[in-house]
Order: sequence, then structure tokens, then C-alpha cells
Amino acid sequence: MLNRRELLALGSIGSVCNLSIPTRANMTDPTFESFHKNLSSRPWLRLYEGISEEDTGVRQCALEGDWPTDLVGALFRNGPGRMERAGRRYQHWFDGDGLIQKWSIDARSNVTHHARLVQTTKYLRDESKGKLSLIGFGTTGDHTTDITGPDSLNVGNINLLPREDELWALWEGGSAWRIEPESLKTKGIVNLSTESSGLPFSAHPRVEPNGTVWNFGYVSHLGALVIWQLDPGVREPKISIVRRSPMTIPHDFVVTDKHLVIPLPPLHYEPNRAIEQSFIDMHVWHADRSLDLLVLDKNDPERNFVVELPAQWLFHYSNAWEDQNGVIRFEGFRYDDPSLMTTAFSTVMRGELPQSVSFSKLVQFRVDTKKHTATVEVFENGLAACEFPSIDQRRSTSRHEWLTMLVNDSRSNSAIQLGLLNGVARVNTTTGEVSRFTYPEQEIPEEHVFVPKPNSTNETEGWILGTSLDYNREETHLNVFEIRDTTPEPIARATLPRLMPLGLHGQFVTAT
Amino acid sequence: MKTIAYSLALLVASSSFAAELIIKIKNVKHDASTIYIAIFANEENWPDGEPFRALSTSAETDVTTVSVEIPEGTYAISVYQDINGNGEMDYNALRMPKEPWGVSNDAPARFGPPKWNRMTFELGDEPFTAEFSLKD
Repeated sequence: MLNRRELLALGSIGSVCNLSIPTRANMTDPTFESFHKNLSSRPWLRLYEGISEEDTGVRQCALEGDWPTDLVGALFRNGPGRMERAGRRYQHWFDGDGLIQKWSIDARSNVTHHARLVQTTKYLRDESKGKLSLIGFGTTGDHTTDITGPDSLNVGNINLLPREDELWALWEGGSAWRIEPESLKTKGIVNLSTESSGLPFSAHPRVEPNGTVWNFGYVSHLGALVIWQLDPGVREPKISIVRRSPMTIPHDFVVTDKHLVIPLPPLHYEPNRAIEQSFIDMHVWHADRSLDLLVLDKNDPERNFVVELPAQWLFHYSNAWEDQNGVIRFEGFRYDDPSLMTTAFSTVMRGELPQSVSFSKLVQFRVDTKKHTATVEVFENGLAACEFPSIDQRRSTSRHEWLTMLVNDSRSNSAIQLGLLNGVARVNTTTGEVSRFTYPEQEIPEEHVFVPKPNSTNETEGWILGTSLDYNREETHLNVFEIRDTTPEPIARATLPRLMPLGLHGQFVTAT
Repeated sequence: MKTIAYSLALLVASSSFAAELIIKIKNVKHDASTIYIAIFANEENWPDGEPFRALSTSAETDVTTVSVEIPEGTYAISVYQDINGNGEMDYNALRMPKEPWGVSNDAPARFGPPKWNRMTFELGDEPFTAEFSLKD
């Protein structure tokens, strides 16, 4: 006879996500049809077309400008890369199979490009069947019995974390994927301990200067937040579970020397089990509820409190620091609502124009950890949109003055009508002063990152490195900016004669 | 195929209504370990109560089959494979199973344990094979 523990073990089977959805496998895929009908008349849709091969191979790039000789390393980027297979197409941009891109810069300033899809369980399953399974964050339609948990849907497509001698490709609802940096080959799933196995490790981990990695993950149907702490030199992570219901979609968080702050916008998990829904459609926006700032003690995340602010949506935050009075400050990009994610990124996958675009404002949060109060202040800078923050990572968890970000400088240009950005800017977070560079029309910038110059300590001594996509010329560029009198001035660029898919986040790894 | 020994008392008690239940567990990727099997006879006990019968068998790669004789009736089965031999099913911090598991009819587990009515089958007076797969 089994003992009580064994019986409970058998009974508890099933704390997993298994989606049971009717099939429509033999019908024409309307998303695919609609996208390709519109593609020829809307060239910007090429940004969302995706690639079809697994590995692009390594290609030499053409160079212009004055490449700094001491900028040596690789910019690794991740993003949705493969969108279609055999006449079927994902219904949401965030569902594309992860594509890792590597821009290598050697000591002689040769620049090469290489891209390879993340070999996730889902990708390999689709590959073996020759069919795209329509199931994911914002995609629905297929019944499959192969789903045994979130990692069955994990496309590893949001960000990367350099980790010892490998890269981790990060998704939001599942495990990280181990990537070999030289070949970009996927080595398998990250599994550090039984306790942490299969727990979500979301896409914006924070790394302290001493190497400690903090992260969170959320499990919506269990109403649980997972807090990760990976100490340098220790394989097994410290895991804490914090219960939170209703769950939302927290995409990013911040860390100080004492606290973690996880902002929880009121996009609540409220599935309607009577109808077929994608994961994102299981959420309801409550404009009359609060943005909850969940503030957790780093040493004991179960000691936490919530501070409420008016409803607002944010994807990303800069970096937090805490003063001697226990006041935490950090910046974020505030939207009135999450419609960019809940609507626009589905609309473009059908090849249609977003009906309306939400504009984002740069805001600064102040959280008083002693009084349990918070304020949020808008930086009025005349910009129509701001996104993708980057700081000097040496300032992580301590005070930073400068922030690099992507911007859109007008509410009327073509890019912003598509929910896209058109420039890169440096912001002084004390004064709010902005200096920026605007790309030519039809050249769409992706995330730009700050790279400090070797042997420098000042956060104004560095380069800004970022890619841009020229969808008319079908080229992808790697751009280098020098910061001159706080203004980002372009000094060099490399050109890949191919338009790569619009991506998300990345990291520069300096050659050692 | 192995036949699991069971008590003489049960044999006597149920012999007039006993039928053979063959449990065929597929997708067994690892041998040299034990598969634990719980047979449930009523919904009230699923998933946290005592099963009607609990047994174990050595895993055989690809397909592991065992048979038992039990009274005619409605049943459901859950199993797990104890890969690391620690005598219990391993979970992560959120009680998600981290060793291979399976249930009769391959009933789906959507946001919680599989539903009783998706797992059950009828055992009549003829031998019946309950066939399902381990999931990782």
C-alpha cells in the first residue's frame, strides 16, 4: 500500500496547463489569408512577416562610418521570428517562435550577423508535424493533447540573459532555454533544481553589480508569483512563492538594495471557460481599479505590502534605487490601457492597420517604503511615445542619472500609426531633459542599449548600440552612437542586406 | 506482462464478481524505476483520498503492462513513475509534477487535476484494457 504522501502525490497530478480546444485544422487560416492579401500594398507589414529558415548562417556586413576600435563583443537580440508554417499563421505578434540574432564585432571592426530559431519543444513538435499549432499567448484554434504544461507553449522569444558560458533565451510564462553563444544552438531547457523545475522565469531579470540575479514569474490559474534569487556561484536558486489573486500580466519589475517592486496593472485574469480563448483573451482590463505596486522585502519576499495608484498600463521600467529615507525611485512608460498588446499586435498579424494606438509617457515612480505611499509623475517632454529603457548596467539597483530609450517624436508620422517608434533618445532623469536622434522615415529602430566604454566609470562615457529595420530597402542595420554633450550622434553602422523580423530585447556581451 | 499479487482475503471476497483489469502504460521512457499505480473506485476519493487499490510495478521501457482482478464497477487510474527512486512523486514549488505521470483515458488536466468523469471506465465481466500514456 502506498503511504499518505504517495497517495497525495498521485492525486495532485494535474497542476498543469492543458488546453482543450476544438479543432479547425482543415479550414483555411483567415489570419494567414488576410496578412498575405495586404502584404503587397502595405510594405511595413514585412516587419511582421517572419522568416522561414531555421538558421540564416553567418553573413558579413557592409560597414560605414568610423567604427570604434575598442567596441568589441556581440549584440545578442531575441524576438518573434517565425510566424507561419504551411499556410497557417500566429494570431499575435508575441507568439512568433523565438529568433536569436547575433551581431558580432571583432577587434578589427569586422561585423557579422547570424540568426537562428530557438529549438523549443513547440518548435520541434511543429517541425516534425510540418504544421503550425495554433495555440499560444494570443493564438487559439487547435486542440492538441501534447500540452503538458506552460513549457509546451514556450517559444523563448522575448529576451536573453548572458549566464556564465551560455545565453538563456527568455519567455514570460515558462522556463528559460539554454543557448550556445557561438553557434546559437539550443541546448535544452534550464533546470536548476527540482523545486524550481518548470517554474516561470520571466523575461526581464535584474542583475545586481555583484552578479546576483533576481527574477519573478507568474502562474495565473494558481494565483501565484514565483520569486527567483540566483546567487553567484550557487547552482540552486532560492525560490519564494507569493500568492496574488486575481493575477495580472506583470511584464517587468525593479530591484533596489533592499526591495523588489512588482507593478501589477489591473488587467485581471478572468477566464471564461465556456468559450475558446487565447491566454491574453482570458484577461479583462479594469480601468476603475488600481495599479498595485507590490513591494517585497528582498530577504523575505513573504514580507510585502501593496501601494495603490490609478489604473495604468506599463510594460517596462528603468532601474530602481532607494535613498536613505526608504524612498524608491524608478521610471516607466505609462499607457492609458493595454490595447497595444491586447488589440494592435493581433491586428497587424492580420495585415490590418491598428484602429487606435495608445501613446506612452515617461513617468517616474516614487514609493515610500516607510509610509507605504506612492506617487507617479509624468515627464512632459513633448514626445508622442517612449519605450525600451536601457541604463548603464553598472548602476543597477543604485542611482542612475541617464536613461536611453526609443521614442516617437510625433503623433502624426506613419510609424506611430502602426504602434512603432522612430528615434533614440537620452534622458536626464533628474531634469527630464531629452536629446534625441530621429531615424529616416521607413527605418524603424529596435531596442538600443547603452554600452560603457572600456575603463570608464561615468555613465555618459559609452556608446549606444541598436538595430534598425529599413522595410523599403529590405535592409537591417546595426547602428553605433557616441554620446556627445548628452546627444546621441551616429558614428558608424553595419548593413545586412536583408530585412529581419521586428524583434524585442537583447544584451551586449563585451568580448573578454 | 506481470500479474500483481493481492491478498487472499480480497480474492475470496470478490471472486464471484472479479474481472481482469489490464493496465497498459505507454510512453515509458525510462526503465530501472518503479511505476506507482492508484485505482480509484469513487469520485469522493479522487484525487486526495484513499484509492480503492494501490500497487506498483517495475517500469519497462516503451510499454509497461500489469493486470489485476478487481470487482466489476466504475474505475479511474492515476500513475506516476518514480524516476529518482525516492519513493514519492517530485514536484516543483507550485506542486506541478516533475516526474512522468498519467491518468486513464489520457484525461486532460486543465488548470487542475483531470476531471473524474473524463478518467472513468467500466469494468464488466470481461477482461478490460485501460491504455494511456505517461506525460513528462
